[in-house]
Amino acid sequence: MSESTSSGTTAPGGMLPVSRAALRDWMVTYISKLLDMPPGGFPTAASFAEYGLDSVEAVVMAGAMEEEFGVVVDPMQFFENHSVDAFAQAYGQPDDARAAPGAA
Amino acid sequence: MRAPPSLSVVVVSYEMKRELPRTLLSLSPAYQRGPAAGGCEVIVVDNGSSVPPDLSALGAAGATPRLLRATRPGPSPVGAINEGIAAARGELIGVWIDGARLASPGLLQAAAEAAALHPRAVVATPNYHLGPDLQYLSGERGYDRAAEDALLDSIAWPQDGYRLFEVATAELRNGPEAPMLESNALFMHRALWAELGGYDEAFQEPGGGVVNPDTLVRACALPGAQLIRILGEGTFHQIHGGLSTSTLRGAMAVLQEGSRAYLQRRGLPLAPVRMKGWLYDARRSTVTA
Repeated sequence: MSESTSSGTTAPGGMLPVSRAALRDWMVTYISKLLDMPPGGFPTAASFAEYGLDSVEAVVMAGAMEEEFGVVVDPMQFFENHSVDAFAQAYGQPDDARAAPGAA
Repeated sequence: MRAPPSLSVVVVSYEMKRELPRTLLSLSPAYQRGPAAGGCEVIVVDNGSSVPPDLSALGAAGATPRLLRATRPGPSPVGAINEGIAAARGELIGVWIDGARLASPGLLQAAAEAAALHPRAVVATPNYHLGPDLQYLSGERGYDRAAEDALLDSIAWPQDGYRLFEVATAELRNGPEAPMLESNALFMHRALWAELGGYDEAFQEPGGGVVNPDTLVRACALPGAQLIRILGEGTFHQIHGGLSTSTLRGAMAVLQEGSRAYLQRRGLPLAPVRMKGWLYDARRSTVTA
């Protein structure tokens, strides 16, 4: 298999074309389903490992994220920002970016 | 306990001149303990190697594997696996998706005993990698075929196959009850394999992508299926340049691409099997429900 991971494009800095809030919500929904718990059933500031999401599942989540958002997601991004909050903060678009594009 | 069922093991190989003879030796009556091995047929399905495997040297170990050539060889092993399952005569069938994996000495007996515990048993054996770490990590630090040969020599393999545990690394880093993505020696009664429809031939990616996890997930989801995890036995991966075991980047790429393909096919994310199931301690013959 080639080392290419996606037919999508690589966004600058690994940024995803989605707001931080929406990215956070997507991750919470995804992980909740995976772990069979209600949304909000795990602390989003805690590291993935603390609630049982291992590195294999993080890589799988990267694939699902590519499908959802249409861009390349490097799984290493999860290891560098290993909580939902940290990942959304690092790779989501600022929440007010679209609401106030001209704001300085 | 009921008498063990007769057993077939389907082993898929592709360009494994170094690894396959060892794997087949580890499945032979001379190496395996317990009566199950004596009633076991081993079917090697070669998936298009440039030179067919030479199995002639295995007779000394009492191994007489059947060799089939896949009729539709390709990058994915799925067709070869299903041909092997179709050819299998045993009531219990184990699938060895990767012919580079050695068995521990009691694996066949353990699988037979575990399968006898439930009519719809899905018997999953744990995966190990030979060497000081998972091979996609150790491979980047110089672990190679020569190092592995020396490692096996250091434990005088195959004299005591249980010493494999001394020189191997478990894939389930959080213990035997941890979420299980796949099992590289998966056993089910032939009726359950038929009900499952074997491996899904939609998985035509090189190496089959995540067809092995998919198979475990689907098997465990069959009505009334009972997952039984084997403790104290396992399979041990020999390094051979496989897609998902050679480098960290390669392993992640296979899994990530497989995750995307799985999502497209199944409409839901790939998830390891989290159910604990029953734990069958093969060395003590005890079951923990």
